[in-house]
Amino acid sequence: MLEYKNDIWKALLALAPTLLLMAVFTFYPMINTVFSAFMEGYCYGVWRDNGNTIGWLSHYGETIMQSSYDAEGNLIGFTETYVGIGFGNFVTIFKDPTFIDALKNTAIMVIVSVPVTVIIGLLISVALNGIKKLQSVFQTIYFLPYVTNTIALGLVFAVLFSSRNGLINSFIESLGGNRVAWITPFAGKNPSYFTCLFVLMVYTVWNGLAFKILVFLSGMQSIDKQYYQAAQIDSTPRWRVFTKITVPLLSPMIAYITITSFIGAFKAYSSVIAIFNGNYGPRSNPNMLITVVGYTYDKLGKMSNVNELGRACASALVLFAIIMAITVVELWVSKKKVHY
Amino acid sequence: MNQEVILSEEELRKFKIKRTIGNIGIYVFLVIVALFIIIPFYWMLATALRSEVELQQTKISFFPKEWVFANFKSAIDYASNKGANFFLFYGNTILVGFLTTLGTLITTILAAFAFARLNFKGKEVIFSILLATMMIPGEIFVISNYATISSWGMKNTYAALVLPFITSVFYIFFLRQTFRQIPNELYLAAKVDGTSDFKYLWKVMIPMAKSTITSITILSMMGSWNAYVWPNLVSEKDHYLVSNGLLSIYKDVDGTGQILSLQMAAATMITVPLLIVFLILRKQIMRGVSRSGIKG
Amino acid sequence: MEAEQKNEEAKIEEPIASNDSTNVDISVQQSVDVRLEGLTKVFLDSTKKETKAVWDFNVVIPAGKLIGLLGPSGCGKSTTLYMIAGLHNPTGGKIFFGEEEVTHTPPEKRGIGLVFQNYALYPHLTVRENIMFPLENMRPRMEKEKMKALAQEMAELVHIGDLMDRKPGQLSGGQQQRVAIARALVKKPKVLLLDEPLSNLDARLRLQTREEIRRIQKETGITTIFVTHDQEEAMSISDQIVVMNYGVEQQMDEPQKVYEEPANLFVAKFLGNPPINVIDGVVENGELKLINGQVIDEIDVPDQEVSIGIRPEFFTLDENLKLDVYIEMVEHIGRDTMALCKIDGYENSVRAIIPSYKKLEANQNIKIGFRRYFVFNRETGERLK
Repeated sequence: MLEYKNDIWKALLALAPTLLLMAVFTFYPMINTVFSAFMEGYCYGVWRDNGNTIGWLSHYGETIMQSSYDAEGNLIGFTETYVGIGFGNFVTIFKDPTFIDALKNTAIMVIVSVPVTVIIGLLISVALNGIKKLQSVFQTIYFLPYVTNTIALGLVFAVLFSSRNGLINSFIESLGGNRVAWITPFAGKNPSYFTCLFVLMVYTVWNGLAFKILVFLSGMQSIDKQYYQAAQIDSTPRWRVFTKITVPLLSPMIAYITITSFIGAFKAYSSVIAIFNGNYGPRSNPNMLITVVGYTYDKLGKMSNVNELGRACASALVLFAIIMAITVVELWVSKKKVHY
Repeated sequence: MNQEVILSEEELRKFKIKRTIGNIGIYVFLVIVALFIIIPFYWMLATALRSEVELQQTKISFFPKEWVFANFKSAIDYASNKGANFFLFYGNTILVGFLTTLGTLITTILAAFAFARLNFKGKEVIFSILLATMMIPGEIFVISNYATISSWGMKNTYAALVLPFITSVFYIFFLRQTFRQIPNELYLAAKVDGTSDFKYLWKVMIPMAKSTITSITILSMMGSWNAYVWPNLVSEKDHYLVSNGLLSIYKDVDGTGQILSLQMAAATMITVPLLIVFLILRKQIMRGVSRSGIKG
Repeated sequence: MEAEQKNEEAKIEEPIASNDSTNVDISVQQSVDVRLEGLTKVFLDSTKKETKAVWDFNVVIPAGKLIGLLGPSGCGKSTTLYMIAGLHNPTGGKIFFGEEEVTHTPPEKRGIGLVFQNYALYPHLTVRENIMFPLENMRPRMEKEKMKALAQEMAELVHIGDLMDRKPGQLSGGQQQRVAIARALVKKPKVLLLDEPLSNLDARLRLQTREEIRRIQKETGITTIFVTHDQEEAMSISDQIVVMNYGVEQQMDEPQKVYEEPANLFVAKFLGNPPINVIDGVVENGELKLINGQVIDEIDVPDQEVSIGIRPEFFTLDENLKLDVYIEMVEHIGRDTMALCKIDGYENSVRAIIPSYKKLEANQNIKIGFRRYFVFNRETGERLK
């Protein structure tokens, strides 16, 4: 009775909410994004009311642009239809210097932030695992960034690094150094790419450590104490214990954290706009540190322009492709290196 | 490597000194890291309390010269002057967080139950398809969802803020794992007593998965408190969540730092509630995050 | 915590007050016999390969008796139990409770109580809530007070009346077992089924619990079927035992009968500890011979290759039937002495158990006697004599 029981109706009932919502908000968008990315001059319609977008329409199949006006001659909406299927959107974004910048910036952020966060996180976890007193106090402190609002603390970092009266510059000055134009201009000098990236990376590391320490530490605590006792009997130096015991036994966690960090870093967005008060860079160059996700959302925000939606989709697909490629490579590498 | 078995007094003393220095080194390192973590919080609070005059000076002291608690009220008033209601941001966030969490729990529990307990054709296939969607970055969905919500005329509604986020494949996976650890005999025992599947879910599975469900609740609430991108796309001022309100109202537009104390006061008011919740539920939150992290 | 539990356990489990049950009202439901007719269960695995878990099983379990289903693991005994419970659907055959056929009745309508091997107590519910759980699905709805009273009554029956507010995690294995039995009995079922009831208990508790099960069964008079792979357990408390192997019934009888007169080689081998000695032999012209040519006995069986089974305790030093053996080793195990004896031409030694007062020395050739033996067909295992 039980082993042959077929619960298809109950299952449908139980899965209905999930499947319905996912059909609308996951599966349809997936297909739609791919379609839109490959439609050149993809059609959408905007219906406006006094300049506010009040509705959207989608049509497929014609190749004309229509504008509608109300009685007073105000533009109330227009539709445009796709002209064909092809790589036009991809070509356009790859010709767009901003997109190339976005790719470059994102790549640099990933390359800097991931190794730095993982290594520092690992070191902190090892140190934390080596002490008994105050361990949970330190652990709690290190976890604080995880439970804070990314935007709020991004603004705080902007204040910390403020050229005029930020803590960092005051500290440098008290040591006898010169103030630095970190992210805001100072003494006629505009902030450089390097200083802006530096501030962003400091914030990214600050923000990302919590989760990594938590995972590493719980991983270390599940390592059999006997390995360490054996090492202690041989009076193995700490560094060798770290490289020969801790890291190999922790390698599944390290692989997992590295993959998720890579994915997370590629999606960098909120931290950038928080630090630059809604922009992607200092006032002198508001797109200085634009990221791929930022570029995508920017296109989305400007959808009244011709086929920006298609370009947003294309840019999102490029992001997806990069993330997939990195994940596959990393899984392949970790299969060889990870000691399970 | 030949190991001296018996250490002389001198060697033993050296060894102990080395250990002690090592331990002190570790504590120094940990304290420095702790300062690195805490200083931004301190600076947020310190800036929030500084007077406008103090902020205009180029020399800034580590501690505020006077504590201007009125800044918090000014921050709220500042929002009102810009036609926004700071408390509405709180209210919106709590409402959206509550609705999202409730919806997520309902869909997640039902779906995890179906995948863990029910027998039906295509179960594994459907589950694998759902898992595969976890690989896809959310940005892919955001674009089309924005178009969908717009075409439904649902922009600037609570529904728009909640609906796309009340399913989570990750939580379904997480809870299914927990459900599957419940011994099958409990189910058989319940069947002998004529318990229906849904009653079994309610009476046995849910109570037994309490800690996982708590974790999901906490993670989901925290997600809403941190949400920025989606609300920014689909909401106007009256439906902003805290992050959006913060960044749009307290933007340091001209870069003069005129409103820094207000900005930091607002940031403090947004940060502190979550920190308090964290300090109360510290164990559950950390356990939840680490378990979901390792299993995901 | 642990010490407290131990105390509790000692208090509950050691003095089993026999007059305790007299003031408890155990209104016995009329017990029924359980009849299995050609019961068959074939499992299909993912590759569509068939596994015969139970094959053409016919048995009548008399009303009010305690029956042990005995067999090695994987012999289909648990499947049989689950089919009686209604948790598994038979591939063929019928199940009757009394005159009523229940083959396709859902488990909750059969009037059975089932105790699982791992007890399957709900860990988040108290003992009282666990025992009350089956009552909550009863229609028409039972009043809460009535449910509580019934739960208390059952708890008293199994002597856990004062643990009602604990959670299963705070109980010892033996106490959990009692809760599981109380939960199975609370609906006053017609048939009580127990799946390996003692396998999760330590040796000391096992002895107590099996007597406890016997007592509860006697007091309630409920038809009880329990499954076990432990022969001692089955033999000590069952009215009758059913030995199964590979889904096929081998023999059903009173425990001692099965031991004394095994129907086939499997039953003979399965029962008895230390196990029966089985040595190859042949029957030629009415003579039973060992393969070294020694004639053991005259026998009225057609010529064939046979297996000879001699239980260790069948050996004596002064019977007519004799074997020439070399004593390799002697072990004194209290009351008895065990001797390992080598028979010329055989690789494996045979084990003999002789009362200790008969002195035996190792490393000598002797003639050892035995008072009886079984002869089985070597191919089919069928008992010939």
